[in-house]
Amino acid sequence: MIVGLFVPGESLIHRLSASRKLLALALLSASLVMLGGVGSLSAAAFLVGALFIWGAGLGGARLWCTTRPLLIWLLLIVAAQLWLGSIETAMKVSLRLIALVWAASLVTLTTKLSDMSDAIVGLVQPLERFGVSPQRVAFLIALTIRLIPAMLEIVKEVREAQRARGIERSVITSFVPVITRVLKQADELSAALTARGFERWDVPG
Amino acid sequence: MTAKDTVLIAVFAALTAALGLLPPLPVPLIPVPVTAQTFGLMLAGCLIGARRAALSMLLLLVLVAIGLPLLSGGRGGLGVFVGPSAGFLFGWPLAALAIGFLTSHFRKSWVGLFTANLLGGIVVLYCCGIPVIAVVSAVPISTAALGALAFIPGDIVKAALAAFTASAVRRAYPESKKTL
Repeated sequence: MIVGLFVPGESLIHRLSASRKLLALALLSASLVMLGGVGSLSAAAFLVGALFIWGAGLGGARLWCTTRPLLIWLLLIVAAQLWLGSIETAMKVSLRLIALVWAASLVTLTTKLSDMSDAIVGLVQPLERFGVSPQRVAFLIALTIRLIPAMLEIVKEVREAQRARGIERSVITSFVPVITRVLKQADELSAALTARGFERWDVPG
Repeated sequence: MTAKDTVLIAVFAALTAALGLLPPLPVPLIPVPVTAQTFGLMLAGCLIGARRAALSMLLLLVLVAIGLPLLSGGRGGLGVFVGPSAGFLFGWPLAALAIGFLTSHFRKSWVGLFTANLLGGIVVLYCCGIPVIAVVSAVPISTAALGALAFIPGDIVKAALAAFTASAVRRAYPESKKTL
């Protein structure tokens, strides 16, 4: 089963609507790109970190979890800046990156998957006149979430079948039957959808 | 958009997500871990056509953005779209589009598919990824490109594997020839 990154909570940030949080994130990102000084950037990073730990009640351990994948990048950036630029640029770039990633993760961790999905489908709404149907986008999201475990199941079955025949370590031989089965499943699914009148979903009335 | 289009888009997004959940493949002679996700991108481009492949990668990005940890290593959420490697993510739909476009114009032999994967899955993808690394970390493009070189050998292996798999699948499942 695929579990989202959302962490349940009762804080003010949790209760804000997903679209407001996305708007706030966009504004914050834009201002972080404009901000120039080490001082203002560290203040921003501190503020976002405080909102993350105490404001949303997510705690320091989770903040560390969102920072960990960045460490290798921070290391590379600092090394490159010390070699090519100045220590000041190194600090500015790292602080900006940290604040941006913390803020974006804060929005993700405090917003339910369904709320965020609705917000994204809402963003698609204006594209309706170009032929993008919001219902279809919502359907695609739901269908894909449902299909991921099915794909893992196919990989597992093919591996077990091959193990039973004594082939274990060949990547090539394992992917061909996986993809063939995936395409076969796609055919069956689209036949099932067509049989249920899928092609006429968008027709009004 | 027909039922078939819809299903193929969802299936390849799900497959690419599933490939990211599998443990990374150890490839001999290459120091950096090779994740299978761009493999899914290349397969989509080779098998389901430019438009559907691009839309399926876009769909996967939407799923990541709404908070599912579907990128390799369990990464996900909005954070990955503001990090230094965001350019590669935004490049996924473009790379899939390029591979699909080239595949429909090349001969569908192993060599044709391999060339399409190299041009779309490496050249186009890196052209999207490297400038973003350069901007986010405030280094010249040449420095960012130098750093990205470490991943090229792994991607070439993936391009070859994806081309081989796609051409074998086309023979094993003739129905797939009709989708292009």
